[in-house]
Amino acid sequence: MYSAYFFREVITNIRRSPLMSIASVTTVLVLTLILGYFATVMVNLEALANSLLREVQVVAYLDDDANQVSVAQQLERIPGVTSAHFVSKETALNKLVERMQGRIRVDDLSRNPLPDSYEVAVEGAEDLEEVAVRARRIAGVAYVKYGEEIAKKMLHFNALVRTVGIVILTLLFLSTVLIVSNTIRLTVFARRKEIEIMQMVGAAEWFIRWPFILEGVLQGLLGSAIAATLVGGSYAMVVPKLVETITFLPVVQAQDMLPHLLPALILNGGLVGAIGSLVSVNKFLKV
Amino acid sequence: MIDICDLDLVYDNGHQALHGVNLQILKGEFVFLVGTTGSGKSSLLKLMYRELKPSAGAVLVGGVDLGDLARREIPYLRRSVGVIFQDFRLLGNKTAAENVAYALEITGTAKRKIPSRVAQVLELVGLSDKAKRLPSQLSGGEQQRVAIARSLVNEPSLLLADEPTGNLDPDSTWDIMQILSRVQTSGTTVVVATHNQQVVDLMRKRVLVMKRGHLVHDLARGAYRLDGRGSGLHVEQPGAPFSAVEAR
Repeated sequence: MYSAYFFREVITNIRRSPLMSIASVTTVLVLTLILGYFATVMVNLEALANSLLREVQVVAYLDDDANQVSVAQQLERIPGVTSAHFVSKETALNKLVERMQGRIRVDDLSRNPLPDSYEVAVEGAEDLEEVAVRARRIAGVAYVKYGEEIAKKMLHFNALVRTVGIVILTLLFLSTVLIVSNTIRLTVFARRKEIEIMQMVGAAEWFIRWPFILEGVLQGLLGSAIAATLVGGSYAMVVPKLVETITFLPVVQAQDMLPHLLPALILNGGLVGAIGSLVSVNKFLKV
Repeated sequence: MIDICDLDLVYDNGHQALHGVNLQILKGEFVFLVGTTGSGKSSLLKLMYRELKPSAGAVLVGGVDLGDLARREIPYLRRSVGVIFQDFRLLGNKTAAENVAYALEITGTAKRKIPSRVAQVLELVGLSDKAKRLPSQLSGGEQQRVAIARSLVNEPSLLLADEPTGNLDPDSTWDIMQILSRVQTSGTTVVVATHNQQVVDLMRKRVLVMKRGHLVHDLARGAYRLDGRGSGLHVEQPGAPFSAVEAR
């Protein structure tokens, strides 16, 4: 029953001070743009780190007399292992010769010194160490390598990206709330007499608050929806070109990123508008 | 209706606005609160509608100790206490009728009941023909009548008026006082803080005299006027010598 009244109030207020509304919407728009672009960079950085980590795999080198089938079965039974690919000593030697580009020749060797091996792919980088330890215990496995140093550095980098990302996103969110609440405070300040009158005639605090909160939410949603459209549109345009130019870069595709990012940005705008209004109007609701 | 016991009020800046005020106002009474600027009249009124909270002592309105009211209960008190001010405090973007209706909307009154109730109180204050005017299109006296209509629309048991005629010409002042008098006759308790000696002298109602935060006189059918030198307030009780009183 009150909702129609609240909406009427919001429309009247926006009509009465359109410049203030434009200021609030623009503030949310600009800050959501920054937030949105920053989020796309963070997601891509994390994707890059993850794709590099996927390259790191466990290699189990076998004894000469190892039972390949049994080793393969045991490897695949280790939790976190997605596949075990057999590389025979001949294949390994050919690869080595190829990599050395003629600096060694097969004919020079009296025998193939390389062992048979399994390249073991794991689900996540955090599984590497555990898989390596278990693989080492399997009978027939001589030794195990998994690029320990690289994996640790990548994991560290990944954690750093995530922490820095969360800290910066939180700071951006808080500063958005602060700036929006200050902008909205101007509109609330312009109507402080009205709030006083409302309190004087016995309006409950929630009744005074709701139109302001609703106005903040609408302004926040509008600003962030425009910003989300800009972020989404530009991302969808830039990504295909980026993939074409820098083929090795694992850029997150627009269809994977935007369905999550855009609703989050728009919701965030509404939330920021609501909190900003609430903070402002509470300052004028002293009793 | 109102019971005030040993009331002290100290503002945050340390200024003591009221000292040990004791007072009783009965249901249906009409009371003038007089005193010079800074005597504590407005502070006392603000305590009666819980704009301020006592520093010590108690203010009871209709048996409710306002000092004990939770914040969320204050709006409900305000609906049973009408308040009017010198500056009218109307919403400039709403018409006279909308300003009055507003006080009903916030209490959740059914929409279909609002127009008839608004028309009723506007008629009571003689503004039926100006219901659709904005405050800026009304004279001071008419704006104050809208404010009175708004304060009455929820049928309060107590009406507080803080210098209600401070901005008005003598004719409008008299109109307003007559309306307030009619309100009292209908059973509402009316408390008016004023500087207007003519009004007090003519109305011959109960007069409470405040001086520097103290209630110094309580006269049943009092009058007051500035002394010949214009330097202070004198109040007289009918039948009592003029010197019964004070000022300075």
